[in-house]
Amino acid sequence: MSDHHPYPLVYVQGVNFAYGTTLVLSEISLEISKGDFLAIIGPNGSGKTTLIKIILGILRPDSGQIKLFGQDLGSFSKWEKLGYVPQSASQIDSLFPVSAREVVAMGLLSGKKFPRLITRADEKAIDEALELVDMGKFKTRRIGELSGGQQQRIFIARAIVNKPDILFLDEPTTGVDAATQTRFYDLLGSLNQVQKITIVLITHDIGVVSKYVNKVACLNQKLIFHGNHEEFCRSSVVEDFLRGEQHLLCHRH
Amino acid sequence: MSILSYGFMQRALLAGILIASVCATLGVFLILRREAMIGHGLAHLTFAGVALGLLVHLWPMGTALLVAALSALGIVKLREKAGIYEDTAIGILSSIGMAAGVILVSLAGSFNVSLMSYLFGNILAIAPSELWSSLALASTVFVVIILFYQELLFTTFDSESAKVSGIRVKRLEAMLAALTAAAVVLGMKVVGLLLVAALLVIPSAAGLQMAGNFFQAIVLAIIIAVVSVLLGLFTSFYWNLPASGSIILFASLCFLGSLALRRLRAGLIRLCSGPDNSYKINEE
Ligand SMILES: Nc1ncnc2c1ncn2[C@@H]1O[C@H](COP(=O)(O)OP(=O)(O)OP(=O)(O)O)[C@@H](O)[C@H]1O
Ligand SMILES: [Mg+2]
Repeated sequence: MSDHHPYPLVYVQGVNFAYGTTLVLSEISLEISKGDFLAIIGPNGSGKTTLIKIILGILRPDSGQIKLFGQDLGSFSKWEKLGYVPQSASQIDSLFPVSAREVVAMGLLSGKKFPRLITRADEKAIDEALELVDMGKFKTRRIGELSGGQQQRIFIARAIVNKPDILFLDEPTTGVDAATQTRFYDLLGSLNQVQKITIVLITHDIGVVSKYVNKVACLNQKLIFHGNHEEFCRSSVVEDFLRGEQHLLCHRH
Repeated sequence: MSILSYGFMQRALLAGILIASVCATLGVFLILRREAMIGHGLAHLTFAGVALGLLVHLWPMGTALLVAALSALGIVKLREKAGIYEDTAIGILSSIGMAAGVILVSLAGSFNVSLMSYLFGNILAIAPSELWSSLALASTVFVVIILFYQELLFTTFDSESAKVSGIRVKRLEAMLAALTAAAVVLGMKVVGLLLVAALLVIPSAAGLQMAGNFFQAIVLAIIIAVVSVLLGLFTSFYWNLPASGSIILFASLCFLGSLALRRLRAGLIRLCSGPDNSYKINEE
């Protein structure tokens, strides 16, 4: 079934990117298949966020090719298949008068044609998404009046409300307490296992995610490693790179 | 005899209420986008447009609209392409507009009453023909905002995620700039170019003070704009004061009121729920 999909959901070939003259990504090639749970790891400034933004068409690569769902990014139009939790979600303007419900409703727009209006049926989807992240009680709360971790959950609800095929999360648990983190990763695990949503997760919590992921990409301007979890644990290239932290990611709990 | 039985008052109320509502709605988006000053900048550029109309004897509102729209797109492009901060772009372009306007006005030899009405507004003298074109334009702007409401909100809140949802962010921003240009030209009719920026900022800022969600912010901004126009026009009628100044001063009072109300409400919430419950971090 899903393993024999005719094309990878994400196809990246020979991508280079520089901010001005600072090279940030060099010759990145990778594929993400349906059903994968990919963890992208790497130190601060290694280009993780940049890579995701290029894949999603927010930034344009200097060279290289991107395909989503077998379609060239330039002509891609099935945006409702994507969910995205940006890293900057944790830095929102706390004075912006927008309720949790309004933020989650934004996630429904990708599946709509002009004029993109929110209907009665949409309200149900919004409620369900909020329940899924345990935030049903905060539906009418202004986003600025929620804690950082609660805000993060609202952004996750926004990303999954449209039932995407693939979910991109850029350090979604920054500022989230340990207990909530564990529950959150359990949620991601079940989205991946039960709902068959492909997940791409940028993270620094390499220890915590190891029991869910099946693929790992290790980035530091170049793609140092990209492959499945087992290979990753045996790889000697990674050993130097992680300086002893590899066991954290390979020890399945 | 009721003041509403005067034709000029009916026209002033109709145009004033609709135009101020349009400005208040747009203003909420502009403030949250940190573009509150764009109205100020466009007003200066629109001055050049009016002066041009007076010089070549064309309908000044038409030339003003054209110049305002081109300037608005110019500001967007300058920020985008040249990587200049928006307020810097506005500062540069508005100075050019004012300089050009002064020269054009002098060439037209028209430092006169009609120019004053563009600078200070003259809503009580709005002619029936102007009324209909103003109402048509204002309604169009309003309908466009309603049709793009969700997209504008998403883009204003988080433009990168909006882009990933397939929203044409750049096109939408250009559209917002064009709508703002139209609002400035319309607002010029009500309060004049010198005060039109206030119409785009003050009621919206007041609405933002009190709102718990985005829709509320828009509704409150409109209510405050309408109340200010009503009070301003009545004051102007009974005490024979300029309508423009009265409207803006009432809007400013509403803004001060909104600040006080917000303080009061925050205080009440603290008082009622105790210090620990008002901002619960954990629901477990
Ligand atoms: N807007 C920008 N302009 C110029 N340089 C940038 C910009 N954004 C990022 N960079 C640079 O690009 C490099 C990669 O940044 P990126 O945000 O992709 O890193 P990251 O791996 O996501 O880091 P982190 O773990 O801190 O989130 C960094 O060296 C950063 O300084
Ligand atoms: Mg990052």
